Amino acid sequence: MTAQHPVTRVEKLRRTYDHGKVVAVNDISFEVPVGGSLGIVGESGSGKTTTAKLIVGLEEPDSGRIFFDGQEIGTGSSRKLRRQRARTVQLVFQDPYQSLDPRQTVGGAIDEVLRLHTELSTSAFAKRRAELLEQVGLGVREAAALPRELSGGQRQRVAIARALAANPRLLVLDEAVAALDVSIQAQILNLLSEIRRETGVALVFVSHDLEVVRWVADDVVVMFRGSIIESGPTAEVLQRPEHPYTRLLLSSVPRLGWDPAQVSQARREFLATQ
Amino acid sequence: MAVMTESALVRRRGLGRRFGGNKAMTLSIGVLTLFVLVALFAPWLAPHDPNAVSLANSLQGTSADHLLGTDQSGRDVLSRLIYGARSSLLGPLGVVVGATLLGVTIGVVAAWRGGWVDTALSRAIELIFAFPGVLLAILLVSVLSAGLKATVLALAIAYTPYMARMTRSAALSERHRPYIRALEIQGFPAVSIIVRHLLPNIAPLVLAQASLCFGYAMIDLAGLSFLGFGVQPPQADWGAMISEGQVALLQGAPLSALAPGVLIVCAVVGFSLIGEGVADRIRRADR
Ligand SMILES: Nc1ncnc2c1ncn2[C@@H]1O[C@H](COP(=O)(O)OP(=O)(O)OP(=O)(O)O)[C@@H](O)[C@H]1O
Ligand SMILES: [Mg+2]
Repeated sequence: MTAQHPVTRVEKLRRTYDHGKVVAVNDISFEVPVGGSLGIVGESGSGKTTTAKLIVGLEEPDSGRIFFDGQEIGTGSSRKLRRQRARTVQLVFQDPYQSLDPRQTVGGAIDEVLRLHTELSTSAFAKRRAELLEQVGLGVREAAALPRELSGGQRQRVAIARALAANPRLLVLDEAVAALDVSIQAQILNLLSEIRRETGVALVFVSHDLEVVRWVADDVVVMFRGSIIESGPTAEVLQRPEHPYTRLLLSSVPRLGWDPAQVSQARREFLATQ
Repeated sequence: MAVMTESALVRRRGLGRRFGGNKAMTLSIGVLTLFVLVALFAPWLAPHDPNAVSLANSLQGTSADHLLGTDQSGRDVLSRLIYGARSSLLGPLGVVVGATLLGVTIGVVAAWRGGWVDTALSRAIELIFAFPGVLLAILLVSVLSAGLKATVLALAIAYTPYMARMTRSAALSERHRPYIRALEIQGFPAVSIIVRHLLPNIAPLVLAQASLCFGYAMIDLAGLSFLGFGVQPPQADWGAMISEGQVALLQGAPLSALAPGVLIVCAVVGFSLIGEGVADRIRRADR
């Protein structure tokens, strides 16, 4: 194991759509240390999801490089490469309902991934399965259920368990708690911190919600129109934001004495300077 | 008859709406189950030998011995109906099974591979589609020989485009759903994703389409039998019976032609209602 290498490093990653007219991700670079956690924040359309998709291989970059454990991941999309990559990095979608086969039970979905990525004996398999379900706080009843029979929070737990089944070194979560109500959000965030502590898996946490990022991420990068405009340790960036856009994002968080009109005004003024 | 194939799926709506949804479906399933049982147990149910000719008894009306009378050749109409259920149901079944296997394979491969594979397969399907099924059947019969096998084979090919088109569009929209993409980036083999996830999820749609096709295949096969291309005499078959009953119809003994006609209509309506019922359920579940 090459401990000195970060689990993931991206270099000048770029992705455009519509024949270059939309620059979704503009030459971004960052790294995630082994067992670390990185928050990616930015307003809607700033390129967060595209970044997440590039990391897991759902999209191919126009240019730029992605390293896992110091090794550049091969481009191309052969099944072997995909499988290799899946054993390193796993994605949890924003809407878990969309990422689960509506006709497959939760247990079936987890078994399938376990079978693909591991070669466990029957007894070890059952043990690992139980361990995964326990790790995300799901019972036997939920394991036998279909996705539509579960609540949003439970589905997100399923998605996390399935992602962990591949034993990845990095978990990418795209707005993984955005669709959940606040108390369930807190539960899932705690769960993630716990899993990270227990398994040493690194996290990339994509969110438009600064409070959520403050909670889970050691480091944070702030994206604006596809570029990273500020990065650093989360506490520092959120305490003493250097870039006016970060300050704007912070002032947009609803709180006591908060004035939406004032925020929109500040946003217009900021955009005028760009 | 060729027109039937053309309009087969355009007429989807309608019937199922007019009768109350669930009751119509239950009734259809009941009637069709009855037909299948009759076909299975024909030798035990038929009061007479369906092929026993008795010219002295030609064109008799209903009697205790011949409940539905006799046909031109003095054969018992009821017995011929009971035996005829076999070829009349097996024929369309062959058509639908063949068309479904072929069509689903083509549709799924086209949707999954996309690109030139999709283009080539779609063109091929359009080509078959442009060719009237009944004409294809007549052509094939002239190459092979008249009979149920040749007509079923021809119609299976002719019905393939309906299954392929529907499957392709269903598979295409399924293929781009996040859960399929999620499985792909896990590195699952395409075949296993298709067999274990994609097909089960589009199966109800395929089933609905197949059920609709069954009814129309029945009409087309009856038509071909009527024209003399399908089931050959003296074998009992509902379509052939209508054809043979033409003379009887003119001579004022309509039962031998009318009875098989009624059964065909019942079966076709039954399958259409089931097809529409399933399709309706999918639409409701999607909402
Ligand atoms: N498949 C696509 N085709 C064309 N444009 C795209 C595509 N995907 C993303 N984009 C564009 O790229 C930009 C970045 O999109 P992205 O989804 O990464 O934003 P985001 O930060 O995740 O936003 P949100 O917070 O709303 O999810 C947007 O302008 C979007 O319109
Ligand atoms: Mg997004």
